[in-house]
Amino acid sequence: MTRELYMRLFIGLLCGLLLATCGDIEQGQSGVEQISLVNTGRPLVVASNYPLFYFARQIAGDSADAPQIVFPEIPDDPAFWIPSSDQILLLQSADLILLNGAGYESWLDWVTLNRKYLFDTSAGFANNLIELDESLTHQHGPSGEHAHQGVAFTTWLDPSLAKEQADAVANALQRLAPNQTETFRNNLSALQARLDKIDSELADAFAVLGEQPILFSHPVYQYLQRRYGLNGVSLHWEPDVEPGTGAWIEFQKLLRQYPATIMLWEAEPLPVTAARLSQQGVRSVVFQTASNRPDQSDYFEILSNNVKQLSKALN
Amino acid sequence: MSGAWYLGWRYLAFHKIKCATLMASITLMLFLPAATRVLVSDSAAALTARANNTPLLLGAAGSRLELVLNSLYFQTGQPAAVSNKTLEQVQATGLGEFIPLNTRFQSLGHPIVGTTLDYFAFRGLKLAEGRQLGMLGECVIGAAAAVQQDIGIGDYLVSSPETVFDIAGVYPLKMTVVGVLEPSGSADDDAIFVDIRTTWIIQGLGHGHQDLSRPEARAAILNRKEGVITANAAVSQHTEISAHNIADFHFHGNSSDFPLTSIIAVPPDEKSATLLRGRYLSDEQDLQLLVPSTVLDELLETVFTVQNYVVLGLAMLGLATVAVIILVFMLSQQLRRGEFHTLSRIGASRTYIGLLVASELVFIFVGSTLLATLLILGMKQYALQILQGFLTL
Amino acid sequence: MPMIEMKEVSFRYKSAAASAFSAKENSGFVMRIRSLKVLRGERIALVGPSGSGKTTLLSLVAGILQPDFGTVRVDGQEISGLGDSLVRQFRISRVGQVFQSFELLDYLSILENVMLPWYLRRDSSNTVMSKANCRRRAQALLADVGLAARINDQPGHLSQGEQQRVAVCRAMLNHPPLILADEPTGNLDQDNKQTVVDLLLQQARRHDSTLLMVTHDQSLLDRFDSIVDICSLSREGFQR
Repeated sequence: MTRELYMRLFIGLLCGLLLATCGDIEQGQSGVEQISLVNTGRPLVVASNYPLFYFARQIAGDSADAPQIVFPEIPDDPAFWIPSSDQILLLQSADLILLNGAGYESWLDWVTLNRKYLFDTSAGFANNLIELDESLTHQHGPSGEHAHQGVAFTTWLDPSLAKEQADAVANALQRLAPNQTETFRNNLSALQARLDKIDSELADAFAVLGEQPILFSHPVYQYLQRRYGLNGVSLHWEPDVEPGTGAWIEFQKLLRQYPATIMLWEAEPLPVTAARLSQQGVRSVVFQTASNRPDQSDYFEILSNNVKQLSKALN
Repeated sequence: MSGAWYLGWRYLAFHKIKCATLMASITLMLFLPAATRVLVSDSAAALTARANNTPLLLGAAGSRLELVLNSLYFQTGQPAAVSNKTLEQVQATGLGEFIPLNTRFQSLGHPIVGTTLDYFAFRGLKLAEGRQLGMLGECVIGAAAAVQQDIGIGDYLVSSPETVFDIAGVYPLKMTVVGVLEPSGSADDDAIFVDIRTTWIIQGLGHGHQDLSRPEARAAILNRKEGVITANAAVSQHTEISAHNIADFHFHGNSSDFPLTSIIAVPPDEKSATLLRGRYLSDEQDLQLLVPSTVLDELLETVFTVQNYVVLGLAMLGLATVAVIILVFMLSQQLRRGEFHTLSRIGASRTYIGLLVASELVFIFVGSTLLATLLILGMKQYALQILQGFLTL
Repeated sequence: MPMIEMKEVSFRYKSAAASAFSAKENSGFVMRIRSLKVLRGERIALVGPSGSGKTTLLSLVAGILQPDFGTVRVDGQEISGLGDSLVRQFRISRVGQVFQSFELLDYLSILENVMLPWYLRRDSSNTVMSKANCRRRAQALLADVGLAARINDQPGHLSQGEQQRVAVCRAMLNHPPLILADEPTGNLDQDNKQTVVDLLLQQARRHDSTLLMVTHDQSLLDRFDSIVDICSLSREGFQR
């Protein structure tokens, strides 16, 4: 409780500092975070998802001349973000755009940006990305070219890859503000230490599972699965949509093949879904991907909460 | 003797057609060679300035002049395309900034220039109204194009189809105008700028259509096998890109194979430029890297030679015109003998009559010279617009 | 003092070009005038066969031609032997001339035609009137002959009779003491002949000018104070 209060105070202070230093931020009528294009003298950095935003904020620090780190207001999953014209303007005015890479930013295909300001934080482990086995592509005519789905993109769910992405963020910030290299490096070390801790906690939590199968409500946990050697199977269920009869039949078939006791959800599933799963011996565990900015808490708090939920379910 | 000037003036005013014809002949005789020189030199300066501001140009091997004229002035036929892979490779060298161009298409007679945002900073183009390109399907148009087509922010332009009856051909794409540029006095004023990927969509390398995985798209599916949906020709494609359907747009094939007309290379220093030139020096390559100003200089050398011949021809014509004018004057004086006789009888001296004749000559020559001078000054003022008008014909 | 005084004047026609002022084109022909005296205010009709030198005589009086021998005095000024420039100035200011072919300039309005002697003036002359005064005088002259409403018309828009009237006005612009008219009615019909001769005589009377007019028309002779046969000038001379 005390820890929670401290976290809230810390976040409140952070927001206060943010508002104090980023005097140009204003909320538009659409709720989009708008940055005026007045030159503040500080480099402007835009992150394409919340983890990168968090990493960048941690690494950049809070000094008066620290780069301005911005995460646009995205109502849904940032992976399916369609930037508005105001948000495109924000991206075009950025000195650095931190990309998750691995095909995460589908909007890059049709937004006009200056390539030299884009930075792919997963380029360093491009050979280590997970190719998707099941993808639905299409072609025009029997001999037409395919449209490929590609690779899994929730790389940050693997703390070891998240560390590499954080390192990439630090490198990018260093090139932008070389005079603050020492600050960035120190902050990076602290961040990576925390990621190591989370990694260790998740490893301990998943170790209990052993070879036991685990279900994923949606195919977003590939990197988690690989990192901790999980015997996992993905469904295509949404937390806010009750599975139909056919889906339950398929589920039962799957359960016979993979007798899992745990299903990970990105968000709290419908009580009816959770109850029915529970009847079949499968416990629903919310394991948030933290891809978007939380209303409260922060990245590590989400991960800590994930660990807590998991431990609780597995123990 | 001022009476002689007055009588001379009245004579010319009475014989307006003769006077106008003589003045026109002399004006043209003076104007044409000077105008030729002015037009050629100003045009050369404008062409050269643009070429000088373009350090290096990378394109497919072939006609150097065609590559330069097409890439700098968006004119002439289409040079052979280079692949986007060439751009990726040259960018990977880190030897400068590289700006792709794709100028294959046009709309309402204006070239559609597919490029990146770097192009605008490179050419120093500024927006007069609206905003910069934000996404595919948007266009920013040059000042002259906006005026000619009476188009502004929010209006639409449609790319011209290359074929009407070929169902596999290039289809028109409706593009939204989001910005109008300030006049730059260059070929950019006449162009329509789009994201280079928009030109690939115009070409049919990318498109947008209904989601084939949805039940509503059943009629457009040929077959579905092992995670691959094969669409038939019934799939309806979007003819414009908007925020509502942008997510439906995608490209087929490998983007590295997609075509470009050329790549503008902007090395940061001479060493990088030399390294770049060295990379593409081999004749065996299907690429050429050239210095536009060198190519233009070769063209202009020919132009100046032709100009000299033209001026020589005009000078010969001028001499002939002078001879004819002298003949006309002599005949005129013959016809006026009676008048001079009368004046002499009344009391006019030979000097007076000489002045009368001279006044006619002076008025015509001075008038013609002034007119020719005004025309030349006007030509100098508007040489670039005339050149652009000529280039857009 | 006589207006015109010629004594033992002899003029040889030099060549076809030099004899352009007279009808005679034979070189070597010599015209002789023993004596001629015309008083101020006299109106003399000069008659004689074609080619007898009538125009030449007028030219000698006007100073257009210079005699080879003898003297020519006009208005007390000996003009034979006078320099070309002085003779021309004399002619512009002191002699009014009317020609058979009117000889108006087609590119000037009739007002400007009447003002022509003023346009031919030398700027340095002290006797030059101002343009405004000249204009007023020309307008008055044209009003006298009934052409006040047409001062801006070109000569080509006038009838022959009207053109000759304009020529008479031109001759009278400077109120010359001597008027020389070389067959002014030669190209006119009968009515216009009478009109023009009446006009000349009227102007001469009004300004007390001497009029010496060459004519072939017998019907006009009774209007003049004297009739001089040019052939008789070489034998007997003439004086009133």
